[in-house]
Amino acid sequence: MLQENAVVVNLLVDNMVKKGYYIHQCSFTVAEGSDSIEHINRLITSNIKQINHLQSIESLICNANGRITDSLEILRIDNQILLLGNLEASKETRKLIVSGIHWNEDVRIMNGDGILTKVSFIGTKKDLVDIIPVGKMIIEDNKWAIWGEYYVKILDIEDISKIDIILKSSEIEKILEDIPSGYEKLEEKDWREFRVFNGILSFEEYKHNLLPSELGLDMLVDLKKGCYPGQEIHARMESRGKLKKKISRFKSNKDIELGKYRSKNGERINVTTSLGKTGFFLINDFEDEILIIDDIELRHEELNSIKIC
Amino acid sequence: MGILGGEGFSLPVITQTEVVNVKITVTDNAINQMKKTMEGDEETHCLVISAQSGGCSGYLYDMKIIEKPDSQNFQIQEFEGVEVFIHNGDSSLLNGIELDFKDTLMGGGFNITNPNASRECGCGQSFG
Repeated sequence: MLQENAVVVNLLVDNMVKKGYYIHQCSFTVAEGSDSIEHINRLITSNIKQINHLQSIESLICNANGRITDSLEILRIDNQILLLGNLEASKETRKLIVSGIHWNEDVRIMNGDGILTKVSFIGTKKDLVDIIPVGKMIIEDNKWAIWGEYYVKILDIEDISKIDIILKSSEIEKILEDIPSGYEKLEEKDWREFRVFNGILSFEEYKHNLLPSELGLDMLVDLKKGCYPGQEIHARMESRGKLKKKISRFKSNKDIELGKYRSKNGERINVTTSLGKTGFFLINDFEDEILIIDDIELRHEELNSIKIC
Repeated sequence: MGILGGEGFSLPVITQTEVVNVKITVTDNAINQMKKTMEGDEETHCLVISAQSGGCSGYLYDMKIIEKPDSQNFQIQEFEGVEVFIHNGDSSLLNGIELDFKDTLMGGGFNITNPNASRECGCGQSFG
């Protein structure tokens, strides 16, 4: 019964406890056919040739200049490949995928936007284990599990756990109806807080025309897999080992808006994501821990782990 | 079972709809080399030039000599008895290309110049 299975968690952000869930603005593309893995593999930065049923692999799509245009979570379900990308980039990503199908390959591309939905539930590990059966399932890293008609995945981020659920959009009301009262739908602002707090990147950062290494996403780039768009640039960056800028989190004493700044000591700063007194920024090499822009003090915080959503 | 399974559940298939009338140019060197390679099979075989995703710049060229495919989805141009087939799906990417052949030890072989490409990789196999 859904009431017993209801996904209800506490949201911990900056020591505040909230109850909630977040409905993602994702794009859903499905590839099927015997050549679909080979086809998708030619377009992305990681290697999915050996992907197994219910395994997911995170990857990037880059342009020929090596800049990120979209991030994907690629989930294999039987003989189909589900690509979860950013809604803002979906048109270009699908155009790229469809236009590059070889005439002699067995690949069909389908659009799941509006038909499929991804919901994330976030809370302490204890909450999740106590409340939902998913928490009691043994789910390996990067593995999804089938829970009734839903696909679910658990991600632990230090003391917080996140459960992602993919379901038909028509089922969303059903799952939410059975959640006990007092649990809020998280708005965009709440989700952005969670992202910044936990080092989760999204299109808000990619849209700044960045290389994977500038966002600390080198782990999603496989230079041994063969050619893909952007590979030449990524290989050159690796061999030179020199980054012009890198993403970090900041905390400031005053609100700071999105935009480009120059610090008192001349460092170039690009605030890509701002929640007021915290957010992400891109910065060149610098020595001081505190950066000063007019009367604003920015404290730099290294991101311990970087993820994509 | 497919994505999220269930009876009566299906997703709309996306197809590429832009098809243009293809006109390509083939140099004399390329025609001679195609004839040489086909060794008298021109009646039954053809050269298929196609594009697929991948490579450093976004798309990769592919050229194959195969038995003439029985499909309405190709556009055909004949060059001195040799037929060149281009699939409708590749028509917008390959319209206007020039096919050349260079008989040199270094960097020799078939070479495509593509007016639709805003960039090409050094090896000449990839364009975007």
